[in-house]
Amino acid sequence: MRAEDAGRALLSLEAVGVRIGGADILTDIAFTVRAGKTLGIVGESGSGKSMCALAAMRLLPRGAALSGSIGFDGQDLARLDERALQAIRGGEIGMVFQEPMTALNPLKTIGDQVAESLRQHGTADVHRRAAATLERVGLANDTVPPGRYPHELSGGQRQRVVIAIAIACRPKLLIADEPTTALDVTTQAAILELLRTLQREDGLALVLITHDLAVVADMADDLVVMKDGRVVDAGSFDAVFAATGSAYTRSLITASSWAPDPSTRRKAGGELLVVEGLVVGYPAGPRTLFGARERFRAVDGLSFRVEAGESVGLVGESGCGKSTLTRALLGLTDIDEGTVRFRGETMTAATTSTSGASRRDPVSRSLRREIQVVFQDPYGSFDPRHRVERLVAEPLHLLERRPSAARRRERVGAMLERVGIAPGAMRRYIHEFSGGQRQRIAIARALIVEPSLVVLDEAVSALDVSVRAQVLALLAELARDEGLAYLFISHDLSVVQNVTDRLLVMRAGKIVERGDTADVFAAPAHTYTRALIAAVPTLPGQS
Amino acid sequence: MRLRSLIPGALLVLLVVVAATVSIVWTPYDITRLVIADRLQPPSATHWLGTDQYGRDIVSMLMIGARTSLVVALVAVGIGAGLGVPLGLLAAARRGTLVDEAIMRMNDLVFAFPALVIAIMITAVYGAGAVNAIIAIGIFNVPVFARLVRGAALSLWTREFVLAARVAGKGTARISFEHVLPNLASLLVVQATIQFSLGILAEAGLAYVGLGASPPTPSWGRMLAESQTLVSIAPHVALFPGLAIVGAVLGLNLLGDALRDWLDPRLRHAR
Repeated sequence: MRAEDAGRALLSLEAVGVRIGGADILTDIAFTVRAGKTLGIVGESGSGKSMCALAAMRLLPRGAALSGSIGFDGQDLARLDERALQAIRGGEIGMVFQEPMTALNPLKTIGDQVAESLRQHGTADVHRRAAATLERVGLANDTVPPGRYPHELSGGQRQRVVIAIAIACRPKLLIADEPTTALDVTTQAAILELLRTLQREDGLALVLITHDLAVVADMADDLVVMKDGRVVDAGSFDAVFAATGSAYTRSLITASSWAPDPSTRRKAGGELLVVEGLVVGYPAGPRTLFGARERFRAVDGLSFRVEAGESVGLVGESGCGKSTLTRALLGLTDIDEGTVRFRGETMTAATTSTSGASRRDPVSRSLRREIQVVFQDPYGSFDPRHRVERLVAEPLHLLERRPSAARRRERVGAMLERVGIAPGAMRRYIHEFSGGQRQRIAIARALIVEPSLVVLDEAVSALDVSVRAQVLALLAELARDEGLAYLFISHDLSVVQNVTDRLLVMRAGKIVERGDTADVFAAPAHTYTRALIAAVPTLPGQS
Repeated sequence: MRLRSLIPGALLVLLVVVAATVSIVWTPYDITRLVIADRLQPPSATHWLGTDQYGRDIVSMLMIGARTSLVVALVAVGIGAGLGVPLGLLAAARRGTLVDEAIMRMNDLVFAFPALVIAIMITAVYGAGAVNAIIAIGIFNVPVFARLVRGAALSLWTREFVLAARVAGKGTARISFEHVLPNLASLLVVQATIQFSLGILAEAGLAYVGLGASPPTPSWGRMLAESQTLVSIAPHVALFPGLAIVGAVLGLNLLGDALRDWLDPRLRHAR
């Protein structure tokens, strides 16, 4: 439609600055979004990339001072009043947020929510048009009627509804802030494809904000790299991505494809963890007065083994049973069938009662010591009310002879130093640390009792790429020095590819493929594995 | 930590506590002597806050009343929290089992009876008096705390730091006291201040129907209750006990806020 003016500057920020409470959040931001083209804004958390989007829409938090000019289609958005801005927001510029769970109103049907955005901008016949818009984003009205509520949809479908709301009024510009971060890789690929199609059909300009360089790699025409509230690189994607980029951009590129030196890997020796015919279920469906509820088998007959010193990856998308499996391995939940053995000793076995979960701890202390865990969320996995010393020392509880206070402090200090945290951190609280530091502290907590297997439950998924590379390097170093075995549970194939020896692919509670990591990536046998690998966005120059 | 709420809160609470303590040894006037000639006087130099319908000095009444009201409300909150919190923690730790079910259904049972009915029951068995009023109000507080604690603790039990503690081999009792309870502290402080103010009012209600502190022992609640027919003639008789209750509750709320911030290391070092 607007093919003749594709490439002309649609949105251009010049010398934009944002100050909140005397602190500079954004400094001297300048970039241009060309009509019908895609601009990728990449940066790590806290780099100000989301703030840029909010500034462009003039949706800054209260008390923020904006300077500079925001040219959009011949107007300066920085000078417009609120009424004029409201017509532009949603009408001329649409926005898609990261979290499709919270971006939708749970009490309204999806059709109504799309219609609302149309009504706001004075369109007639809103319901018919809302239905048509939902069709456009791939929610066919006969399979997903507009009368559905958000909770009846999957994460990917919800994100499609959010996109439908954003594009309902046929905006010229769509700003998508981490639109796929909360989604599985296959869903992510589908959403990115949808954005591409919409862009082609409507001649839409797209701003794609992400922490993941690979996501923008095959989407963006132009690229902006941000750090600490400043633009460090801006220009056409190829130019920035090729050698002309700054040192920071190059470090981002290296970090996203970090791999350990293969010579440092240890060879496996001796069986450690053996899982046989594991079934874990939980009650699902309506409760009847008499008779047991039907059980949903989240983990459905799983068998695998981990040898001493080896690193095993377990990948699967959300809902495949990964978390349930983690809990079962750690003895945090009852199992229905099968056994988990550790060094030949039975750790957990099916209990006879299938009703109500028993709270008794079935795992002996000596076994608990051998298998520790690092959880995904570097914010939620520590009690905010305890000091680091107490947090890291917690597993020492498992020792037969607990160390004295002085000895305990010594051990915690040494362990913290081992993971690259100054021992002085012991007296501080967890909220004083960054995400990467917290994950190091979590590793210190797992290793303080000298386990032989560490379960990494999405342990690096919440980290920025450069921090992730550091944490992975630390894990590789620890594996080499201590002879640790890892069970690396992740939804992210690109992480698992570089740091594991063997790979298990899990789907709907079952393992669909297993083998040496290199072999699985080179020649995936199962269609699901192939789909997973194909969906992973890659940087140019990577296989 | 928030000094803004600490200082006025502490001052108000201190004022009430000092007034109550001093009243044990000294009050401006003897409240057991009725001077009908001086009845319903407005505030003046001799009677700072005026007199009531029997000519008793309101300052003196408030000072002694502070004692009754504070003791009743604080002990009642103590009983409620002292029984309710452990029960709530236990129910959450044994969630989904018969223990949980039994505790929560007992709670429902207590909830089903209004405090007044329980008080009448207790009074019928053990006789009227301040102690029985305290017990009645206290029992009524138990399910409030138990439900609050169970609900909040249930969500804490699914948090990863609790899972981490379980991986560290800690038992449910230990986790309840080391991890769950400290993270409920802010909620409990807020609920305790609310229950405290409700306690003062509940005592007033019980005193009004003759089940609380027996006359002539004054309490703020009964002063308020007795003055309601006089509001149009002598508003000060109702105003000052009302202000005393507001002041005490406000002071405790402010102090509670400051305490909550101080208990939370994330807020402790904030401005």
